[in-house]
Parts: sequence; C-alpha cells; structure tokens
Amino acid sequence: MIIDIVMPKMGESITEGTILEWKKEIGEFVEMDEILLEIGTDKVDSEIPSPAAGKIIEIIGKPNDVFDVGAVIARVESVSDQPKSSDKTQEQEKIILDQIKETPSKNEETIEISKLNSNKDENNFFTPAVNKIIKKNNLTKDDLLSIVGTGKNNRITKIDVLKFVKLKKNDLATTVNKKLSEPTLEVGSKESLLNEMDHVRKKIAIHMRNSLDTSAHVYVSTEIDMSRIVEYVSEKENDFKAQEGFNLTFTPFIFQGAVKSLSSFPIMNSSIDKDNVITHKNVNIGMAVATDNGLMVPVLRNCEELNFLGLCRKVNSIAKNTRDKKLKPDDLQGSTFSISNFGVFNVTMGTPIINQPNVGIFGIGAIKKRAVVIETNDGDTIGIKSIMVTTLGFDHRLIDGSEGSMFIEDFRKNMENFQLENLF
Amino acid sequence: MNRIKIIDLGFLDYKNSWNYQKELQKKVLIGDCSDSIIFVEHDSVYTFGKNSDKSNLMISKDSKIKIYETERGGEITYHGPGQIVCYPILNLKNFKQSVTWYMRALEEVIIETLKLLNIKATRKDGLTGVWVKDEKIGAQGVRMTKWVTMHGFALNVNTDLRFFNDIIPCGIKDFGVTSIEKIIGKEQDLSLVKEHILISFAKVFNIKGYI
Repeated sequence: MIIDIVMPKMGESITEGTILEWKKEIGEFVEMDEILLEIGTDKVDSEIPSPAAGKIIEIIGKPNDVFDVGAVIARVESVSDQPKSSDKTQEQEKIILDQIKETPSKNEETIEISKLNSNKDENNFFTPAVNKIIKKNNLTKDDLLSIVGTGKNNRITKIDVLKFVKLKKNDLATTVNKKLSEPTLEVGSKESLLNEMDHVRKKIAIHMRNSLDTSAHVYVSTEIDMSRIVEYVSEKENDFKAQEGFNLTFTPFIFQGAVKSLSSFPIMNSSIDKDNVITHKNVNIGMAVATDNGLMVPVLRNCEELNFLGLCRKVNSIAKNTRDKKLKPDDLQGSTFSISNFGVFNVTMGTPIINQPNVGIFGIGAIKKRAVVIETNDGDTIGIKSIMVTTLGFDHRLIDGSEGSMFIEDFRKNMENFQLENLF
Repeated sequence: MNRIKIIDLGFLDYKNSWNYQKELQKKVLIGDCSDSIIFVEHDSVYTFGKNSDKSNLMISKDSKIKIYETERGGEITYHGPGQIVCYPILNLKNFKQSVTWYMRALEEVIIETLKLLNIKATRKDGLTGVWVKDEKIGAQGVRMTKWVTMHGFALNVNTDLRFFNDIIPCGIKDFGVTSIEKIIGKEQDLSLVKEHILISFAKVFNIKGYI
C-alpha cells in the first residue's frame, strides 16, 4: 500500500511550509515515527516524523520548496500488510497529524537517549571533594542532572558544583514563585494602571523608609488653646495683608513658639551621629510643604535670629519658592527640627515621620472650635475655644518620654501665652 | 498545568549550552524531565538559522567572533554579554500544538516583561519578534522535534549593540536594534529582568509555579 506524506499543519493560521531537508533518500526504509524531514514555518524549524514505516518511493518536494498544508510531498510504500489505520480511505493529512500528536513509541531515538543516559551515569562518578559538597548542600539527583560538567568527558567538577550551589542559593524559582503567589495587580487592565514613580517620589519613598528604619519613633500629643492667636489673626489680617502683601497665617506663630521651646530644650535641636550627639547652635526648621510633585521640606535657617515679622516673610517666601520650584539644593538641607502642618487639610491629628537626621518633628492639626471646660476661681464653666491638637514625634534613642512631654508642654505654654503686642 | 523547571546556566559559551539544550530536549521528549526554561548569557557569537541568507553577515574573515550554523528557524543574529537568552524546552502537547501560537506566546512574554519595566513594546505585522517603536529588542528562533521545542528568544538588556552593525539581524534591513539599557538609559540588573520574564511566562503560559 502506498501512503502519501503531506505537508503537516503546524498552527492554526499556517497555510504553507518550506521543506528544509530530507533525512532519507528515495529507496531508503523509514521506521514509523522516525524523523523523515525538516520543515520551516514562521521562525520555527520542525523535525517531522514519518507517519508510517516503509520504503520511500517518491520525494516530490525539494529543499526550499514551499508547499501548501495538506499537499503531498512524498510517498512511502508500506511494508506492512496491515496499515495502522483500518480505514484505508481515511484522509492522509489526518494520519500525519495523528502521528505528530502521539507520544513517540519505542524507536531508534529512544534507544539512543537511553544510551546517552547510561553514559551520563558513568560520568556521575564524583570525586570526594564534589561528593562532600553534594552531601553538604543536600543536592538531589535532579539537581546533579542539571549541572553541566566542564571537566574531562563532561565530568562534573568541584567548580561546577560550587557554581550550581551559588546559583541555587539565590534561586530564581523561589523568588519568582513567591512573587507569583503574592496578589498581583493586573497590569494595564481597566481597573489599574502601572506608572513608574517619578524621581522625587522615589526619593521620598527611600527617605521615609530610611527614617523608620533609623529612629525609634514615639509620639506624645497635646491640645493647645489657640483662641487668643485666632482672634489676633482675624483682627489683624487685613492690615497685615495691606502692609506685607501676603496673608497672615498661623504658621509663623507656631514657628516662633517652637523656636522658643527648642532654645530651652537644646537636645530636641540635635542629631545622632553613631554614638555621638550633635547639638546644633542654630535653629533651622524644616517646613513640610505639599507640592504638585510631592512632599518637600525646605529649611528656614537661623530662625532664632528672626523676629516675628522676619519669620512671617521667610515662611511666605520659602513656601512660595517651593511651590514655584525655585528652591536651591541648599534650601533643602541642614534642618535641625521639622514641622508638618497637615492642619491646613483640616486633619485633627497625625503622626509624622521624623525628617532625618533630626530627632523631633511637630505634627500640627487643624484649629477647630471645641466646647471645653474652663476652670475659674468661681468654679468650672463650659466655653468655646479654638483648639489645635499638636503631636510631637521624637527619637526615643536619644529622648525619653519625660523630656518629650516637657518639651511639648513648654510649646503649649508658649502658644497659649503668646506675646501678641507689637508683633509688627 | 505542570510546574516548569528553571535552569540558569549563568554565563556559558554557545557550543556548550547548545549541547545542553539538545540533551535536555531529548529528555523532555521521552518524558524523562519536566518542561524547562533555560537561561543563559553567551560570549559574543553570531548564529545562523538553517535557511539563513549568509550574505546578511558582513564581518571580515579575521573577526575573532565565532559563527555557528544552528538548526533553529530564523535568520542570523548576535548573542553576547548583557543579553538574556532564554531557551524554553517545552512539550507543546502540554500547552497548544501550534507553531503560530507558540511564537506569538513568546512575543507576548517579551512584551509583558517589558511592560513590567514600563516599556511599551509591540509586534510588527509579518515580522516575528518584539519591537520598541521601529527597533527590534527581542529576537526569536525555534526548533521543534515532535512538538518539543528548543532554542527560543534573546532579549537585549545591556547588550553592546555595536555588534549588530555587522549583521542584518533576522534579515530585516529596514529596522535597527535596541536594548532595555538604551531605552531606559541605565544598565539593568539581569536577574531582575529574568524574574520579570518568569512572571510574564507564568502569565502567558498559565503556569502555576516553578521548580
């Protein structure tokens, strides 16, 4: 019986294939499943096994000839009286496809491989040094099979094993499996978007993480009665604006109160350098400013030298320069204490992260009217007061709870007894 | 889906890793080894596919770079330091018995990998491979024996692209080549890119994990 060998279909949209090489010539015998020819499609070259055993009687396609899928490229005369398929009229194309789909049965190639394997076993004689490493690292047979021997006869050398162990230690599989098991964002799906952080964001991320890894953060909070200052500001804000050209805010009051407390508690105005404490002579306050690009902390230098109006002007100009992106690199360095006023966003209280290498930071909440108990000589009464919750974050490596508490209490007193006469 | 074995050969010359893949392909073919992915970085080498046009290599005869004629599909290409070469040895019967599907899937792996690095890469109609704008970043060439694959793809990470000046990669004259380093402007950590490849591979081939 004569069997047609046809160009196999290698993929759904593939309609043709190129004959690259015949492994057999006319007149030669071919076993079933033995590689008969090689074809090229797309960028894939494939070895095609013979769908039947027999003698090759005709080769139609020459190397580099292109044939449509299903076209006859050779003919084999079956030696068996019993063809594989009982249905002789079955489409030839189907036969070849079935053959490709079937797992290869025993054939020459299998024997060849088993030979190869036994060779490999012979090579698996390991020197005592290699054996020691194998034992020490609990390498499995599978592991050993995947090591490429570079020694004589492909024998695995000590260097090969050590190289493998090193690779195994930072095993890609472990890392990737871990990542795969983590909940992942569907990248580019409708629900989420993947965007790389910009330079500033990356810096902030590193800076924040670094601070939490460095300082022993603790927090104390207190309520500060800002009623006097609130009244003062509403009374004076128009005159101030007319005179200075910008708004009178609460920030310079807070700065002035903090500068006074920092002068009384120099340890809050210091830095830790390994086992040493650096106490700073000047009070340089970092002011957290929200910008379009993220958080910036420009520094108001030598605050202790400024009077109230000087502080107002400096706060205003630095905030403006920050938002206008006109800061110089120096403006962001050398802070000795920081203040984050998230109260401007109407937040009641928060716990800011210390701005390294500082040891303290104020988190200023929004000034909100509260009903509070007022103690008088005539007894207690309830009144409406403008209350500002202030939080002090400090580094417990250097500052104990008592010092932190005394510091924030001093600040409260400064604010509640703020000297409001002749400020400007 | 079966788990896939990762074999990272590190830095290994072309000849040795070629032999290694051939042996592994045989093992996978008889079911002696699970489907695997080989990662390797080669010395500088030019390789031809079986039906490559030799005129696409324009280097002088005294060039020290080795040239290999391989049995994979595709035209000439360059391999060298800084390039991740990935040889999946897969029995496509475990996935899908289609050459077209496999080649598009490999492209998808490269595209997804680059997406994880914020690089937008695409296919070009009729041209196998992965492109960033008009420059090729990932090249593919595959050989199959009874649906078991060998060879695979190469992704230019920190590749010295000057080596491509002497060839017409994949026989495509009109377009240049590029690398992740060239696009991002910074040398990349190869092991991180390999992780990205494996994550993308798992996604595209629907693999649950690796061994």
